[in-house]
Amino acid sequence: MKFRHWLKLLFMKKLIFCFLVIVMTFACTNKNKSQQTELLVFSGAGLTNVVTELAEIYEAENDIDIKLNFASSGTLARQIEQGAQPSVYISANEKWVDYLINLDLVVPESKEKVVGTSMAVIVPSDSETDAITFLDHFPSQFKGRLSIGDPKHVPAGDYAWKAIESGGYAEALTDRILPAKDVRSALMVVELGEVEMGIVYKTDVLKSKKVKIVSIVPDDLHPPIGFYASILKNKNNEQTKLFYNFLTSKEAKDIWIKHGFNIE
Amino acid sequence: MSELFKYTASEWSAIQLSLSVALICAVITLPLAIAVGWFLARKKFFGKSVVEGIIHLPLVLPPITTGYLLLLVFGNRGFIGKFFYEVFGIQIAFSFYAAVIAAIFVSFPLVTRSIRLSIELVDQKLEEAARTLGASNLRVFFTITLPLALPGVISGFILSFARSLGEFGATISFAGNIEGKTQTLPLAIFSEMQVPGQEASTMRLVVVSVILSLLAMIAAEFLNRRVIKSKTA
Amino acid sequence: MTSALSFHIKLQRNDFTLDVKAEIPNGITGIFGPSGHGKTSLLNSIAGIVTPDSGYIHLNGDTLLDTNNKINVKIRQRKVGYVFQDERLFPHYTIKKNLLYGEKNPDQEFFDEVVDTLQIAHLLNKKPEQCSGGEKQRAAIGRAIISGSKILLMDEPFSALDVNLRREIIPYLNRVHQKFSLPILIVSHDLPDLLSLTDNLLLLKNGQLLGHGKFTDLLDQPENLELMHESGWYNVMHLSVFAHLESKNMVLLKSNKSNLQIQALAQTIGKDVEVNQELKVLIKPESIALSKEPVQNISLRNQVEGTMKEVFLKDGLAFCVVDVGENIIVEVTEASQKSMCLEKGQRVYCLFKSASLKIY
Repeated sequence: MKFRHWLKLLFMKKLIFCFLVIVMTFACTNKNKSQQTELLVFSGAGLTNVVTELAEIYEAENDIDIKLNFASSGTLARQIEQGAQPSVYISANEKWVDYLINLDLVVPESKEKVVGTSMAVIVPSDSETDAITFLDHFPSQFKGRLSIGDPKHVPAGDYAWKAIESGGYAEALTDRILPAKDVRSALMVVELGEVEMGIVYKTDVLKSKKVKIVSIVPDDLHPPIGFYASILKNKNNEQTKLFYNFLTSKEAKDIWIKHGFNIE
Repeated sequence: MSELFKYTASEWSAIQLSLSVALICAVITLPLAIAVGWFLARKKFFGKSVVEGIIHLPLVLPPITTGYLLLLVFGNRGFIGKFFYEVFGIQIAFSFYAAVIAAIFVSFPLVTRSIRLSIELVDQKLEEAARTLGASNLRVFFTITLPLALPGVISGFILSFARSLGEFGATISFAGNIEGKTQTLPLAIFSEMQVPGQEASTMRLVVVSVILSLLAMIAAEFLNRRVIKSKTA
Repeated sequence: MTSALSFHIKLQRNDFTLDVKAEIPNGITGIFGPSGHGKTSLLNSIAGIVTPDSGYIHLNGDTLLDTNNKINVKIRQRKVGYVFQDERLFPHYTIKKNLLYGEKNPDQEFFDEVVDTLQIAHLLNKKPEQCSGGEKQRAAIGRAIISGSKILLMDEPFSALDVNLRREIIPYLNRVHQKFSLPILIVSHDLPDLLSLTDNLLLLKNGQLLGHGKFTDLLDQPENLELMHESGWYNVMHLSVFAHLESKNMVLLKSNKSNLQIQALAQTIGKDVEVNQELKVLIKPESIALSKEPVQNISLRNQVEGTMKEVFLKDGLAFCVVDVGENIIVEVTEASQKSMCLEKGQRVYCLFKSASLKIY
């Protein structure tokens, strides 16, 4: 009996030892990796697909590792303010870049509009609604809530709400908004059929098979949509500039267009 | 600094909403957890481990996952949600009820565990003695098992309340972040945190959050001690 | 004789099969046997806590169990008052609430009588943890009686208490039996304690019933002797107080049915006993010596005359059944028995010190 007990103990010790070794290896491997050159990029969620592809292309052609963080632009600005240190920040509107410039965290001259797009009104793909006119009694075009990004920190939500205000629908829709934490979440809610209608970037819809566009929101109903790239003051070095320039290069242009964005 | 005490209407709404959700959740969860806890404590049956595993799943699943699963089941196209939506026209997701349901799902395993453990500690011999004295199974449960398991039941209730106060991931996925309807305290804090420059607002909400949780824990301790006292007095 | 309880129970246990058939009369009956041989299982079967594999149980004419006819009355309907070895009073109730658990509205007179008989009136508002072991036991008995039980089952009522407390509970049980005429079934591995309450015994070993009847009759069987010997047995004599011999600080006890008389120390008998009070006098077989003639100049107070009825030899010991008015067993060495030629029919004197007596 005693022998068995001792054997079990030994086995347990070996198991724990192996486990620790594995954990350490992973930890160390990561550390090793970070010694190579690495670039951290914060980008608004609306650019998830296109920026991911751009990063892959860039990584293939350059010996560098690109790490991506997608969230609403406001959330990202907040993270940078709180101490996050990306090299490049791409915002879905100008406001948040300016905010960071005021805090002296972003190189002012680096603010550059890369692409633009439009807002699209979407419905689940099996919806009976096919096409509507945004300015034609919009609130009565759908029952229940409207899925948009949270206007407070999601640019897509801000643009959508501004369009709603311009259209004179603010009072009717103020209690019917379902605010999402970023534009992708707003899209997902429509995909799930939880709402009858939503407003997201036109570019978001191209990848989704579960929703369809029923209207493009007239551009003059909201401030022009612009995605702005910028460089963080702390990381203003060669590597960063190279990637930053890549974003506006000819090679990248084709990718942007492929994803539905408008090049100015 | 004085800003710290000026609560806006939407902040009050978040606090009040959180309390309602937590209270309703605790009230609904409690009898369910007592029934299930009793069953797990007293009965043996085939597949018991599997049932236990499923019940405890929300404990270890990331709340966001739980929220997503709730959407899949209770959403308009979901297994159960479909019935409600098509027959009654009721949309379960992204409503106040969704917040309550999310809270129930995440706190249920906690409460059940606590109650089950309490019931297991009740001496079955006492229950046996009660039966020889003519008590029906129901009477045995209400006069012997439950009173003796009371500390666990009370902790369970408070745990459920406190857990729902803190529930975020499942709520935001399944109930959404609708001010006045589903924006509970944690969601309100999250929202404020996303917007640069909202430190004061965030702080106000955080303070309330901490105070509420503290109060819940103190209440739990207090109630527990009273129960123990009354048993030995 | 109508029996209060009649049963035949067959139950498969881990190490043995319980197979007991018996008829229990009104009064106190003891079930005796070594620990783990089925006594508690037997009680559990009667109470309905355990269902026998086959058999029947009839209590006061009601059928509680009949496996042939698929009758199996639920525990709560059996009206069996089970006093457990660990009392099992409900800790969150006062004694009074405990007493009333089985019957919320008993007849007030009945309730008072039970409380009075068991002397637990002062405990009514206390909680079980504030009561002593003996008090808790009496409360448990009271609870079973008040719930309207038709029979009282007691599982090892003596084992939890120390020697002095054991003596306490015994008079209460006697009183309960006299006042409420409930049949009482007591299970114990403690023969002397059982014998202080009753002569009517069931002997159980390995789940089998070895014997059933009066203790003195059971003594006639060698197998019974062995069983009882293993468990530390006593002789029991039924005597009444005849007179106080105050000058000698002794009490004279006499039998109603024979010439048997014994002197006992006043202290051994305990609190004030009255003339004609009936007592049970217990003495261990090995505490008695035999002689063929009365012995002079010896310190022993008691030399009781009797006739040898039987001699059982075993392992160098001679168990002699001596009729002194009642059958008692005397244990001497085989060597002595042989050298003294102690045989059937022989007149002998049983010698013992009054200090060796246990009196209830």
